[in-house]
Amino acid sequence: MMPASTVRSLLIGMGCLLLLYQAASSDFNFEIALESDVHEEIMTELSRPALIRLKNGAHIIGHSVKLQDQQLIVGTSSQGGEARFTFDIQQLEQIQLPGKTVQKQALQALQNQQSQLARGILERLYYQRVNLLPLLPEAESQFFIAYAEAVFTANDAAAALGICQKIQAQVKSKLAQRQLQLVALKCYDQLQLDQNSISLSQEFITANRWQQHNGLAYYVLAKTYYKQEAYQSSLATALEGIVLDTRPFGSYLNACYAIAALSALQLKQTEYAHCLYLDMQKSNLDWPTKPSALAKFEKILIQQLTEHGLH
Amino acid sequence: MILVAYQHAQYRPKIWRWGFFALFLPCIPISAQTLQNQIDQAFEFLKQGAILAAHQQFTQMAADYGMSEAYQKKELQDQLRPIRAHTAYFAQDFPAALDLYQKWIQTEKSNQPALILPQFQLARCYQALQNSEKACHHYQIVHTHARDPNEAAIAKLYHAKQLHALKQYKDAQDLLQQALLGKASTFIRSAIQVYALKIALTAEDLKYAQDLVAEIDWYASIQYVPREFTFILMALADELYQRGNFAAALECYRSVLPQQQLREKINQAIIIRSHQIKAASHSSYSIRLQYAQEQMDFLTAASLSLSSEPDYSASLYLKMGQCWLLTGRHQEAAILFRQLSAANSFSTEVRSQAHYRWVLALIEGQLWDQAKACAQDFMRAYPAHPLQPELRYLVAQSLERQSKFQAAIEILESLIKNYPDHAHQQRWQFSCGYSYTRLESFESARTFYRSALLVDPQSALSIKIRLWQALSYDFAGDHATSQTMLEQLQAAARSAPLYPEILFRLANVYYAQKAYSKSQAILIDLCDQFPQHTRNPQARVLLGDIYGIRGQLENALASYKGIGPQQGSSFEYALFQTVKIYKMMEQLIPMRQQLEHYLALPDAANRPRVSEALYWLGWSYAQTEDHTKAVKHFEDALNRFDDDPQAQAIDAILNAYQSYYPQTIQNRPEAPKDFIRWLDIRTQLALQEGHLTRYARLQNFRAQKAQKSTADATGEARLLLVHQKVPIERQPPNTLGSVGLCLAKRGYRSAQKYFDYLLNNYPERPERGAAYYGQALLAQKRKKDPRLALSQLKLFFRETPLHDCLAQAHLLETELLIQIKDFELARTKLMTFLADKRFRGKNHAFALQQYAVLETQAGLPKRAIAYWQRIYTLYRAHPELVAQAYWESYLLFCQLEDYLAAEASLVEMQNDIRLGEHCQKAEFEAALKKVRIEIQNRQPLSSASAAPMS
Repeated sequence: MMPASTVRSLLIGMGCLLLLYQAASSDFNFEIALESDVHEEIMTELSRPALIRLKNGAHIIGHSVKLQDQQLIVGTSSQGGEARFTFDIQQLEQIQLPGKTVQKQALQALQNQQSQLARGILERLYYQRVNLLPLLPEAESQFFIAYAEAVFTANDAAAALGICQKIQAQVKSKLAQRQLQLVALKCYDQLQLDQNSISLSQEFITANRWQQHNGLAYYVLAKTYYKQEAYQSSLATALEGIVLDTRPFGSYLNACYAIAALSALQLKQTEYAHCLYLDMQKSNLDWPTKPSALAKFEKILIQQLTEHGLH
Repeated sequence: MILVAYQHAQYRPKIWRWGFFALFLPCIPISAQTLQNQIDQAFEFLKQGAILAAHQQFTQMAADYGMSEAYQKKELQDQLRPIRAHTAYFAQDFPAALDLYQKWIQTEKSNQPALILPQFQLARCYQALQNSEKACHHYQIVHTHARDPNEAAIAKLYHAKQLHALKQYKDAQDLLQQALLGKASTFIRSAIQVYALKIALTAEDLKYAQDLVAEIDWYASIQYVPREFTFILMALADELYQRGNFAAALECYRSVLPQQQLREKINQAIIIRSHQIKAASHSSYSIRLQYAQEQMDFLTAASLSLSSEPDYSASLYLKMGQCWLLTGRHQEAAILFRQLSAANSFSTEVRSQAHYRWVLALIEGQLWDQAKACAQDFMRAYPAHPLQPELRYLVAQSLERQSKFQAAIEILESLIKNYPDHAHQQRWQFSCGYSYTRLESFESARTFYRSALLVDPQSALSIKIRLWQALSYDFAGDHATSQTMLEQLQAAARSAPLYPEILFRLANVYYAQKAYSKSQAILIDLCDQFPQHTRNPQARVLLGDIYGIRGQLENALASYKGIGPQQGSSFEYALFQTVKIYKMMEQLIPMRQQLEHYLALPDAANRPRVSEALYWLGWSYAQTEDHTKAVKHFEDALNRFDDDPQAQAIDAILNAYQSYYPQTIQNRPEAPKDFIRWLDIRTQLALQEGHLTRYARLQNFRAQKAQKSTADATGEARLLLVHQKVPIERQPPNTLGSVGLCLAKRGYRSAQKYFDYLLNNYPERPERGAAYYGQALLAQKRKKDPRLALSQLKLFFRETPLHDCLAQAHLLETELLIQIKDFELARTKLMTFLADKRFRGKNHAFALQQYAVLETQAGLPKRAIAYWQRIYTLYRAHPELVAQAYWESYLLFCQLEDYLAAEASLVEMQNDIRLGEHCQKAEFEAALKKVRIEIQNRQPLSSASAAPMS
């Protein structure tokens, strides 16, 4: 029996709400094509009914669920047709969506470094859940940080940034926020959104300076300053990334060294640039090969050091 | 320990599984029901993880049924013994375990592989009972016979630990190296490597420890043995730091994880290890399992202790920063200390320490203003901090290094006053004396030196104080007192580190008093006794100069040639001195050899006097009429160096080029028709192509020529063009001086920028004399401060006595002395000036003008008239001076009411038609008319006129 406060609208007719059915149909195009049996299996799993529990103890099983204007719309079979129930989200206790097995599959694919398969599965999961994420536990959103990372790795920084922005509001835990910020930062950097790069990396550095170190933020910030010809700032930032990293091959440590050496060169501190370059070599840190714009600077650095009799 | 054993019982290998089912096999007859009950009870305890109770149950059972036939059955004993042994071991009843393992080995002695585990356990028991030798023996059996490489490696690791306990470091290291040659897992290998590091550290073999650190897989070690690895690295770094090997210490510190990150790593390692142990505990008990369990216990204990221990991270960062600082990397140090000082997560003490060191790093980087601001922040943030006086002293030191001695003195005097009992009182007083010395306030300086010596006359610093006390007399020109004090110090400080410095200073004082043989003897002694001392090159230079003065040119050459190219500016000085000597001796071949040697040095491109060497090389060829070669060198020098602000001798080269232009260059098809045209083209091109230093040099060259020629009035205009078009940092020192003076003479404030830049960037170059002279001009013209101007001139005379502005400086000095009404000193100075033949000509005329002004101001017009008369008698080549002299004489005669003489002055002036353009005709005629009227009015008085002095 439905609660009195529930706004119920019952619609009889064909093809009212499609949602996942639409996604499961063959004419829906996912970015990543999977083998048909894998795709079928995943979509079958994801198309299973969802369970919606309300605060008053009632529960509804529906095939399609949609969030619209702070209201949850659930479509369910009714007497040969389809009924649509609409609730205020305040009344919602819990939603149980199908797809636990698919999540495990995705994790397995990620662990096995089957990036294409992982992306394909995550994409389908994401499509199923993206609009409902505000109503799901935080862990469901955290799960898609890996998806954003996978999309970024597949050279689609814009799409990856979109995913980050979509899940950002739901990610509350510090560790997950950190991971999400790092993916977003990589996207900003690749998309050359310099102002965003500066503000996010500054925010990241301020919040994490004495936590687990990550050189990415220092590198992106220093590189952006370098591009803007603010060499003193780029040198100071890259050096901070170096001095606070307590790992022999810390993440982006080589990139921080490279930017620091180049900045020193621009500031006419040629001997210091040489010193930093030697540090890299002594620590077996290779000159970064990406991005190519940075990679090619090694030659320029060596050339200038040679001109000063330092190399 | 028992509690710990129980606490982790859930992870203990399920030893009961090993024999439990076997006990119920039908083939084992159990005659006594009570015995069966006791066995059941013991196993029940084991299942519950109550190992101590199980062990007591087994012991009780042995006591109750030990003699019974059912208990003695071989099959039962074979099954029960291993379980009883392990139970006793985990219950930490090691003697009982020892006995049971030995019996186990006795029973299975024919089955060697099956004995690996009891042998290992036996070793563990001996180890627990602190019988290291027996433990070693049994570990050796295990690693000799074990087929599993991991078991062998674990046994070797434990064996090495026992050898370590027995202080057999070498054997332990050998064993661990052997273990690393095997195929053990990364987990075990990491533990072995880290333990090897620990042994190296205990054995104080730091070189080996550093080699090991270089070989260790940091990521594996931090994953598997995070705590041991971190703490051993930190201990190694501390040891290296203590021994002053800061670079190596830094390497280690940079690999140490801060505490929070270490805790995360340990927790990760616990999760991984517990999964592994859970998975492995379903199989039978093994060496690997026991090892993993032990590591797990260790990690858990480490995690707990880390949570309760104070955070070492702050101290780690501080030590890292200190290492950066001590290895000359002040930029990194400043960044680290700055961040630490602002980190609210660290204690106030840590932040204040970091802030203090941040100031140190900025001072080290010579970022004076930042250092001062940073220190002021510290003083505001921690007003009662015990480091306050130290920091203030640092600020004072940084001010001293910026030559802001007055500001330094203010801080030092306040320190001396406010912290009378501070341990650094003597040092502060010395510094204060030093600052006064630099300000040439020698009396004040000596007051501080004296009081500093009273603080502790025997301290190490007292030698330095006495040295500076003696030097203060030397700087003040009192070489005799300085000599006496230095001689006393020489006798008293023979074993002091400053002894060679004292010798060097004493030699200088003798030299200043022309006591060359004494100076020479001391210098020879200094060079012989302290061949590696930093003063050695300067001592050789001085020795060479003394030989030169005494005409011992061969000795001088030998002394100069003893200075190598790596010995800084002394080398350049000595080399050019040898060139001068060869030039004087007209030995052009060795002269060229010296210069060619200099030009062929591997670092010749970065040497400061290459352009000068090229000039002298060209000059030497010009002497042998080889003008083509000479010009080739001049052109080489011009093309390579005239756009370099640091290059020297460019004006000399331009002069030489001008001399050889008509005969050697003008005939070239592409060459401009004459040198002036060549200059024009080159100046224009320099501006067009952005060779601004070249442009500045050429304009300055032309300005100097113009100033010497009365026909060319473009000199100042050219200098003002340079001021307008060439940034200050692109100008060479001579241009900086010329343009600065040009501006200063007009009283422009912008001149100061030139002088500051010249003094800061070329502190050793003679051109800086223009800055001292120019600053004196500015002090006189803008600040109206004759005393400040005089102090600048004092610097000029002391630092750059051979500068081109010497005559003007002397004249300005007397002008200033007259201004402050120190007529006696002004007279003495003028007399000396007039006796100096270098200033003959117009400068002497100017001196006579000064004399005349002086006497006028002193109220002695007759004497003044005599000087004006000397000007118009002796310096008729300078009509502007002559005209002024007549006019001033006329005015003074009028003042004396000697109108006849006044008229005579004007008439004489009128008779020289050249003087007409130097006076106002109307004014002149009015004066003449006026004086004639006065003559007519006072005819009878004219006989009393003063006769002009001859």
